[in-house]
Amino acid sequence: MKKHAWKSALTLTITGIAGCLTPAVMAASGQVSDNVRRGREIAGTVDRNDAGFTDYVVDGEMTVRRSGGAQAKRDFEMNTLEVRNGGDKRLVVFSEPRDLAGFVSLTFTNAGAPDDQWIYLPAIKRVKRLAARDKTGSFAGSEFSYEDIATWELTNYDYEFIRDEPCGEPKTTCHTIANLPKYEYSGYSKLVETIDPRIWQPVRIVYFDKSGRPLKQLEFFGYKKYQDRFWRPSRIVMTNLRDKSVSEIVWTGYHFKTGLKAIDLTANRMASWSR
Amino acid sequence: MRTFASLLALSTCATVAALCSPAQGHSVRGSVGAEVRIYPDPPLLADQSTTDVQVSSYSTLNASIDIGSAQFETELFGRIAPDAAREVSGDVREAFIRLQRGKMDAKIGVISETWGVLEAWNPVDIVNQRDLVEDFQGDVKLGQPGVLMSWQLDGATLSFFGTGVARERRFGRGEDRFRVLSAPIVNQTFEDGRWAPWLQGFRAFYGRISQTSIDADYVVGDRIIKAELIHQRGHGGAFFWGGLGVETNFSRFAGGLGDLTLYAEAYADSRPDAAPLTPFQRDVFVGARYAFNDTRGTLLELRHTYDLEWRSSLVEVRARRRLFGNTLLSLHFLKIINGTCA
Repeated sequence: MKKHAWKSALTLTITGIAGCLTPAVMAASGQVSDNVRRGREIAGTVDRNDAGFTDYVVDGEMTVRRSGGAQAKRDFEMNTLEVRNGGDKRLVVFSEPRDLAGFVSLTFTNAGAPDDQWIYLPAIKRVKRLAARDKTGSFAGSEFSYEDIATWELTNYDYEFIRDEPCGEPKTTCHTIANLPKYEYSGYSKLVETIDPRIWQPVRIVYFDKSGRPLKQLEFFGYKKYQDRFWRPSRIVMTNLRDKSVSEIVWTGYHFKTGLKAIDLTANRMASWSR
Repeated sequence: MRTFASLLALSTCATVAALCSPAQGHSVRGSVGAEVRIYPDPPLLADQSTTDVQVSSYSTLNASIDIGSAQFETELFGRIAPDAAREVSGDVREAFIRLQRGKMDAKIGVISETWGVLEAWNPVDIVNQRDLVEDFQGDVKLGQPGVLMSWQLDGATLSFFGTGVARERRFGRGEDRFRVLSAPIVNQTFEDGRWAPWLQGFRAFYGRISQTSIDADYVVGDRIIKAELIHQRGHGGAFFWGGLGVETNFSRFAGGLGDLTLYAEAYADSRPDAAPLTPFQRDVFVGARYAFNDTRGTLLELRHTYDLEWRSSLVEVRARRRLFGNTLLSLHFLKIINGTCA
């Protein structure tokens, strides 16, 4: 199964999915079919356009700005391995702040099932398994959750077309779809995603909490093309819509097809990444 | 209540920003810290220090260097503690060459292996001896010379560890506070005759043992079930020892930013009376950890261990907060009720 880089892998039960649909949509069954079909087409196109990257490594510099003025920086390296007919694997190694240096997280995105996740704690040299609900926890004290950082898996969502709207610079007509998580222990009821069809990548994702209220907004800036095919952002900004806290990640040094192997991204080898 | 002891430890750790800039293929980092230990209760033993407030300093150095296709990794630790029996102490906790070829991993040198999945104690963890002066609960380990070879199989790892050098545990003695032994060790003997470095003032018998163990964790919905079980045979006979635990997490607890983790564990063994002394023989452990997820990385943890056999308790409060930049402040409050720690 192919994925693209910057949507999160979320789950929700089928019961929860039905609850996400608006009454107007539920009433017009023909319209539901059209919207669902178009939503799936758009998501499938996004998926196909990003397939085949094999693996990539990128450095992230994250700045957390809380509404009260507090600010913090985190530096890390992110390694992503594409897995055909399965979920991608993603390993993140922190280098700043220094007391977090060597902290490693590893996530296997599973199709139709909760992700597998481990962390390596260098202070006690121990690998810890995390439960599925831990994914909703904060990623290094930022507005991102582990769920947001995990790779996106096409089959882990249902989709629904919402509208076409202008976006990007210069302006074009973008597609806005809802991603409805299909597995348990997601922190969200839906993700409303606006996709630029020129690059088939998201320019904005609005995350809705379990009660259906807007919670966070992720914006993507400075897309560049790598390997003549794969578009990646140079900056992403997550804004908490309730308290206006902001977490920004600046991405530098994208490297594709680095030779990353599945055997390197295992819980047993996490310690060797901790440097 | 027979005896009780408590400890308040304040530790400030300033990590050195970078002894040399991390770069592709190598990294060097270290820390320096000061620790203040406050003992509200008088010592139990006559030779222990009566100083209520004890200050010490410590430093660590971690380095990782690529040598061709291999890696050299080291971790050095040192402490200066004027009120301790040994004022200057340190250890090479790790200094090994790591080789990775396909599914094979090898570590050659001084290694630190951590096995097990439980929180309070790990019965399966057997490779490294513990530094019970640095941490009487056994989380600090002494580097162990040896060779570790591992092969990753489908869903399993096969490992072989070999060593010709034995190390002894480091116990508190003399002036040291928080001694887990009430009598000094003046000599040591290794049953199987392996070479061991000679250190003045020790007497301990390290019997030859054979141990078979299994540890596992399993995710069940939003919980992790953990278990460790060993069968150990030594000069005192054979026995089983194991622990079972469960952990669950509540993200953005009570609508806030923080994550709450709850865990509970139970330990039991079938030791005969002559078997070597083991901690967590019949104990239960519960804990709660709250990560505030603020920019300072604030963490608060409450832990309670209850010994069902001796009716004693160990109550702990642990807290940590980044003060500024790369400086950490950590606090550890410890109270042993009806226990025998000196």
